[in-house]
Amino acid sequence: MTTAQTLRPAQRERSNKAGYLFVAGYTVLLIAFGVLPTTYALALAFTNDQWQFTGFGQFIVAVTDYRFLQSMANMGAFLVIWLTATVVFAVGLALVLRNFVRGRASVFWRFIFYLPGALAGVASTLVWMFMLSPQASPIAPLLHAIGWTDFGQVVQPQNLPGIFAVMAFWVGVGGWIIIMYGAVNNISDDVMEAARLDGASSWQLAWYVQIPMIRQWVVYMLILAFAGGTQLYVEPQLLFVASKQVDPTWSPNQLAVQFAFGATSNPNVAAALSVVLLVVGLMFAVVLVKRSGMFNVEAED
Amino acid sequence: MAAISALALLSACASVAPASGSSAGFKPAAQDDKSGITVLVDPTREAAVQAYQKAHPNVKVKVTTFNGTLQTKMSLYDKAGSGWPDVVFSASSSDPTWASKSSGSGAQPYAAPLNQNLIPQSTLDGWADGSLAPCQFGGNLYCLRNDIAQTVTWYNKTLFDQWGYTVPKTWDDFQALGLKVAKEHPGYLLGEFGDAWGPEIFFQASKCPVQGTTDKADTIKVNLQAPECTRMAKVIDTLLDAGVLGKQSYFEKGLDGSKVLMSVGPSWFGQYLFNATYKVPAGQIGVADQPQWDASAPANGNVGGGVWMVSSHSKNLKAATDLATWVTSDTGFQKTAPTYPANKAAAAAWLTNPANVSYFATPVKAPFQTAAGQVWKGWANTTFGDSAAFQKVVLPGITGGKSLTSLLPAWQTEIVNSAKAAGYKVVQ
Repeated sequence: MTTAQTLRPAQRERSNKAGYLFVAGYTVLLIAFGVLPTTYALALAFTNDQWQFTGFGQFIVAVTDYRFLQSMANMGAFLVIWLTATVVFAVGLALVLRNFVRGRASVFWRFIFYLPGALAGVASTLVWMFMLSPQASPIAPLLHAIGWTDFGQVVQPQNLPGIFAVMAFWVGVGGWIIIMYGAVNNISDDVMEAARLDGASSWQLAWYVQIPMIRQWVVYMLILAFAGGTQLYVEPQLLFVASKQVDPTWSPNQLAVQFAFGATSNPNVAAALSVVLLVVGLMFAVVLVKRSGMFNVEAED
Repeated sequence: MAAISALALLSACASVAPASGSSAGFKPAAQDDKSGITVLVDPTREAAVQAYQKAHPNVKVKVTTFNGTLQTKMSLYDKAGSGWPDVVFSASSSDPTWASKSSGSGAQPYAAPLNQNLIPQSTLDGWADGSLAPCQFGGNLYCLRNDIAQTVTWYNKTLFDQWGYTVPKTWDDFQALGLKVAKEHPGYLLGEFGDAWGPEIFFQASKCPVQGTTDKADTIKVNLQAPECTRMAKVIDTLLDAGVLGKQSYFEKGLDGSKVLMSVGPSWFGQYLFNATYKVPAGQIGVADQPQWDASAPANGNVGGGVWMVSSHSKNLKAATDLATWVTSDTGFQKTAPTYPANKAAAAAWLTNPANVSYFATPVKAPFQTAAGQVWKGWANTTFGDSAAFQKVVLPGITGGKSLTSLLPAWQTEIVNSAKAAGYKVVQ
């Protein structure tokens, strides 16, 4: 406050300029790689290759395609398994770390949890393909015990949502554990102390105090994870290439690529499908934000 | 449904489909005989371009290698309106299907019609009977076939002799031999049924209309309940049950190649599979004619085979065409090619090269040439390919324990759906 009052107008202007300079780089990139492509996709979705307006025509082509419902159902099954696992384990492990592990051990475990996330998506998929191949896997005896003796049996359609969930979970959950740990850490010691004095057990402390207080972080995680999950592409695509018997349009994003570059190349339909996915993600976010009161300022008090 | 029709009302503005250009309008770019040419090939074919460069030091050739979906790459060039390579190699003989058509927005089809003042008919007559069929659309020729992958019977002659087996001449013999092997030498295989080539190896050879040709280019015939299909499905089911046909890929890691007693497969199986992958010692693997249903009306399968296409946008069509012709038909070069050439003179030279034939226990020439002339022509080349539906529906079903016969209706539905989505009309 005091510095702002003592600044002369010219100085204030200069510091504003510096602010603009700082955000300029980001703004340029955001426009080039965020806003423009989205606008382009929206324009494509409502036109044909001659830029003639087609209304919802491309959307109808996309959603009435014989592969559309199946790929949405696949994605849905994947999201249910993956989001549930992510919420339960990210919150659960963060609480365990915060409440029961101290000092260096805590640092060590946070590092271990985060480690798989350092692998890029493709590399982690390759790791899992190796792990799940009954011929090459270090856990081959376990796979054989389940009755999986070759890769074809592993990648049966009913197993795929679970497999992709495991792959995505393994890469993604570590980062979320760290973030949730930070959120739990932020809860004031006074609150914790008060609860303990009132006789709350560790379990009650977690359930009645800590989890409600990081609820908004969980919602934030769900929104981002859901948006990421609808973009599922690399895992099914690599598994298709490797196994030759996984549906090449398993996820909606793969279907969009097929629309754009497949047998009948039609980027406009692909754009329409991308817009559908965007809308689905936005709707999910709106519902969560409304129901959790995430941006409700009073709720924070 | 009501919601969809309401949306349809809203959308009655312009056609949603890309404007499809016909292949008629070929307008060459301004030509410049001195202009260098760019060539896009897979890593295997890089040697071909290098050999051409060595034999033609005056031509400026720039080669790029690429392993991916050619159609994707080309439609991006079409969108950009520039950058097309002058010559491309494609490992898929169905690529000319799209390359001979416009990708939309009035773009000129990528492939140049080679029969229009570029290559004389006398030269084109040098290709094996029917091998240029995947290149022909609307009376024009859009590619030169590099190699063919006609199916023959590969067998372990040492074991066949030792156990007193004879090579099956008919598919009934094939089944009978399979049941015998299952009883006498369990663990040995008459092949695998876990690869994308299943339709071509078994169903094309059985004249089954998985995607049969009709007299119209945009119409295919799909009828998996035809007797030509069900008879083959029964043989395969019987042998899968007996355990003499495997459910894995031929190239699956950890597969014991020494247990593959026999296999019906393409001409490149000999070198690539038995020699390079399974490392069977030389002098054991024999090659024979593929089994037939009816010796008087034989039909063979064909597993791919690459093609070379010349860009219709090329500034130096002469040099580009010359390269494509040379790499496919030069006998000195093609005799060292990794796969069986489609050009007849090149194939004859290939068969005299000891490197291609000395590994085998029996003469290669007769079965290869017989098969090359018998590839079933009723099999259509389509933009959506003949293996996607098979991979999606049949292979998981088979590894999941279902019979092929029980999977035929689902396979049929998937083929029909993908054909319609790709803009084809389907008849039964």
